[in-house]
Amino acid sequence: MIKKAVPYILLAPFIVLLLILLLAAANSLMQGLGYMPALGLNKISLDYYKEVFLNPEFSSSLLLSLYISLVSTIFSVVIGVLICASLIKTNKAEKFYRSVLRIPILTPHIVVALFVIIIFSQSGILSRICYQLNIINEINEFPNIIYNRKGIGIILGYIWKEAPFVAYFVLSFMESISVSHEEAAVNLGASPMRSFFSVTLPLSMPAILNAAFIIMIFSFGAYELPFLLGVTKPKVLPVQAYVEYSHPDLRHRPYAMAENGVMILVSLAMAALYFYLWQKKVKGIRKNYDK
Amino acid sequence: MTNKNSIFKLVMALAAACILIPVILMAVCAFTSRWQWPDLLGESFSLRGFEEVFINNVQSFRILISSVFISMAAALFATIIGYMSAQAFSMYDFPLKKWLHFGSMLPIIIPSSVFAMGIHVYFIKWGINDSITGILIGHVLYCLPYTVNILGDSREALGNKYEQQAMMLGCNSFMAFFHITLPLMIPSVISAFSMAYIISFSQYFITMLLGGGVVKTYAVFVFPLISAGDRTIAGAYTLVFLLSSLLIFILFEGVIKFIVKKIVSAET
Repeated sequence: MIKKAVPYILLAPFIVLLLILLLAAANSLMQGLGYMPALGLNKISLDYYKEVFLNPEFSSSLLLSLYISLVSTIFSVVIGVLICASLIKTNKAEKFYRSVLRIPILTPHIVVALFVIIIFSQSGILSRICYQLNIINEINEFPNIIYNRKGIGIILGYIWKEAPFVAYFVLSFMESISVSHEEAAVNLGASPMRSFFSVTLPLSMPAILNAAFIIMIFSFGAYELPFLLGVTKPKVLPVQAYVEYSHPDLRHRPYAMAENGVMILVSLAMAALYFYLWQKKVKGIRKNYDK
Repeated sequence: MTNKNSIFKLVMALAAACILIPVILMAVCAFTSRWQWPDLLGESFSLRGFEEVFINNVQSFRILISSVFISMAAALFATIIGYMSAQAFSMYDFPLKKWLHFGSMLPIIIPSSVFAMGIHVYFIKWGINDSITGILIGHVLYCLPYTVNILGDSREALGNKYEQQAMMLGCNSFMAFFHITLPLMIPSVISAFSMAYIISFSQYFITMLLGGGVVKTYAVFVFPLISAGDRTIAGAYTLVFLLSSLLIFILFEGVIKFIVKKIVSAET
């Protein structure tokens, strides 16, 4: 009997924290449905969600968040996998590169924002270089890379931080495959290029998917970079939600919470997509092995 | 073949340059007095930024120290709770295991801003808003997915055969844990702790909202300076930010290795 309880005792603090998180999520969802007894709002309805969705500002926020998350994830994953594969092939100075790759992982997003400002802002280094090369003559001629509606500065910041994360995350997995399976494929006559694309890459997919999932959800819901590098209109969803949340009129709360509710739902959908792809991938790999 | 290899080398060199150049530029920024457009180099070097950090603004240094302690505490809790959970997940079978394991991913799925706004009312009700306790709860929660994952993977790989052997030779389970399992787990404990420290130290939104300006961490303090326009000051503050975590890691790794050495030498 006591033995059966051991794992639950070990998990007790974890479960308590998890319940706090679930309470926060449930509270967001309920307030988004208009249930705030403290303000005398007792009726549960979808009105706030409806209103939020009918607001054009919200839809542009949602689209911007999705777009930033998607684009930065695609670039980060492609660059990250490229770095990872290259690192495995270059044995020399590997230790140096490995420690360099850790720098972005250790750097907070706030600091990444400063990097982007120093390099890409209108008074940044790139603009100065362009002036010295006579490409531009005035500070205003340099394009507004950071505070523009396409969120280029935000995406650049995410790529700098997340591509090395992908590389690091996939590294040990890909390394073990590269040693065992890829060499076998090369011995059987496949070109190194071919063996990478038809053996190593597909077999590393579970780890790559995992990394992609983490950074996609993170960049969808993160606050810091878009706040520091974004334009005032449209704002990304978390920034927009906090504006509503900090509104002095408490009756704005349900709107903030409805937006947070949308964020929870989109993130859960991303997670569901990930689990679906993961299961398919793992089954696919198993099937190929069985043949 | 050599041609191929040189492409990979080029990729790595390019990646390293892209990573290092911003860091170097920031450090240069921190040491310049003024750096007007369109000069490629600052007018002259100065310690103005660091004077601001360490001398003029006494508050900033105090916040840095307390912030280090908060993040150390968060990392310690996250590592211990993560280890306990990893032990349960990798060594036991129980109902709900699959669901709870999925639960360890939830802090990744639910954005920290959503969590902070959702729990704020309850923290006020429980009287732990604007307090270190409240901030620690949030920080530990958002470190957990990483510590559980890192420690779970290596705990599973280690298995319990060494522990069982020690127990067959007469160790009790406490001795087996402290003399066998824990020393073998040290590398992943170090990486879990470091990861948790970094997540806690760079956490902005949770601290900002749940700390309410009463409890400030260095990240919250530096945040408004980033886009304020004075790059010497911003550079100096962020350089101190990065160097402090580097110093903590070196210290932490040193201390842990020293302890392990002591344990091992005490046994032989």
